[in-house]
Amino acid sequence: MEKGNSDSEWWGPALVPFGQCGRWQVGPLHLCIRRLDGEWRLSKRSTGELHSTAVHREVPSVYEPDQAEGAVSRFGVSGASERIELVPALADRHVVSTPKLPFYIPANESVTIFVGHPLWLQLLAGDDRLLLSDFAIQQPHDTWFGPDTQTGKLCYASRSFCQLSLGEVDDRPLRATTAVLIKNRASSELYLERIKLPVPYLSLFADPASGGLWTEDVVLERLDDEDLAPLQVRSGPPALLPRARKTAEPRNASQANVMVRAFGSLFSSRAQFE
Amino acid sequence: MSEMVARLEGFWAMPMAQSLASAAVVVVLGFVLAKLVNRRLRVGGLKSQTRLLVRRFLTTVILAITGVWALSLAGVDMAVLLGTAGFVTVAVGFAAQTSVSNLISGVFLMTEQPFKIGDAIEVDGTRGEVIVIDLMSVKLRTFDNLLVRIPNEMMLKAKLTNITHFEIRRYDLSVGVAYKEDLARVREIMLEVADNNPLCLQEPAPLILFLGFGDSAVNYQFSVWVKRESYLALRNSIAEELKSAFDAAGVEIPFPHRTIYTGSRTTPLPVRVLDRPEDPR
Repeated sequence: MEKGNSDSEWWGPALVPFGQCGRWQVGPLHLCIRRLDGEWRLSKRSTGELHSTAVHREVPSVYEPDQAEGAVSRFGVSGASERIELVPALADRHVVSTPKLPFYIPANESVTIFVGHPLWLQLLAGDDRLLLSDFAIQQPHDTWFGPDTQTGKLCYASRSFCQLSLGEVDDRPLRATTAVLIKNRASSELYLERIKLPVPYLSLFADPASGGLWTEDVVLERLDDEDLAPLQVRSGPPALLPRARKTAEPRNASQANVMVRAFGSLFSSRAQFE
Repeated sequence: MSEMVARLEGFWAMPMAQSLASAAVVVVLGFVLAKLVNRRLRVGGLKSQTRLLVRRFLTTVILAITGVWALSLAGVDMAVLLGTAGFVTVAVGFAAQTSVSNLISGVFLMTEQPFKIGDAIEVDGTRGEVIVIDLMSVKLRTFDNLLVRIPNEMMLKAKLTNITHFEIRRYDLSVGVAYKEDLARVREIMLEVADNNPLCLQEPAPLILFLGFGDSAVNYQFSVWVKRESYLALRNSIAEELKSAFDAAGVEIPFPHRTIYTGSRTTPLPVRVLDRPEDPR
């Protein structure tokens, strides 16, 4: 049985000999990846246990047909490489998080909140790292972020709450965390009901000690009582984990001076009928 | 051979032949020019719908101008032709009222743009995907793969619904539960079902509306939002999941029924099973 880069890391490359398979468990997701002549065969199933923190990796493993194997996908490939790599990634859309209880940030105050994001998994095959599949470990809910149902953006909803304390951060393996510094430069308080982060522009970093996944630190500055805020992504590992190692590049190239509609209020029921 | 060359030279010497050749060159030039304009517009940054309209308009104008020019070169008297065209126009105008109406409606539709190619729309009870927007008509591919041509005049007059205009849609499911049920628990179950279905948008939040005390059930409207591409998948899955959740919790979705009431202090109606009457024969 081959281990990951550290005991807590479930991702990374592995060699799966022909006719055998590799098995991974990441939270509720069970993966079985088989190497066959001319193809890779991926079967995945979810136990539905959203709060599972189990992480397991068994490579290579003897393949035994399992009735609870789940959905099977086949990928035709050339070459004889037995190398397969699992890479954690962030979502392909912006992610909206909500605090357990909304809170105020007074005028001219700055606070750091910790926001959890759902993780995706990319399957790369061969020495040239051919992308076979890219899927969510646990499919998040879609959600709408905008002032009404006409204007806005389709995002993913994070199942973890944004926290004001580092001690409350959700460290499940299917989550990544971002430390967001919110500077309220406006003359009025900011009532934070939900926050949207453009995660496709962020990279992933792994904490070598715990195996937890983090992104770069983000700074959002609220000006002039508006929901639009200039987004600043601080390059490099998060300040809390200076030794964290980069494991995935951003999906989209980052843009300088991006203004994002980061703060929003929840819809009222009445708004759905107007 | 030399006789044929001599004949050709003689034909070429005739003024009529040179005029016809010039006219032919102009016609060919017109077609080439129209094609060039078409190609040029293809690389422009215009919307496909606008590009189609402009392309057809320019092609018509170029071909009309070069056509008139060619006729003029061929020796056709344009004054006579235009005079005749006046009469013809009046006659054709009466005959082509519908076409002209469609044409003008088409221009209005293209200006207003209530839908675009690829949108799913509903017009007069016909639902389908817009595949062509012409000056005269709009062509739809219905979901059972039939081609429906709707004249633009009708498109302009009829009530038109663009199903895919917005990114998200709401699905409303009517459901009734038995009077004996705990309604707070029923509400909880519905919210749990929405929470467990990742296709349901978290925001706008699911909505549960009390519709009224019906003949046989307490009626609710269970409304969930979904991104438009997942609408059908959600419509199928949410009903199954709600039924399963109600079954698991022992919540009854009642059939229509009648209670026969015989007074507040009466005992239940006595029911007596009689023997089958004898055949009178």
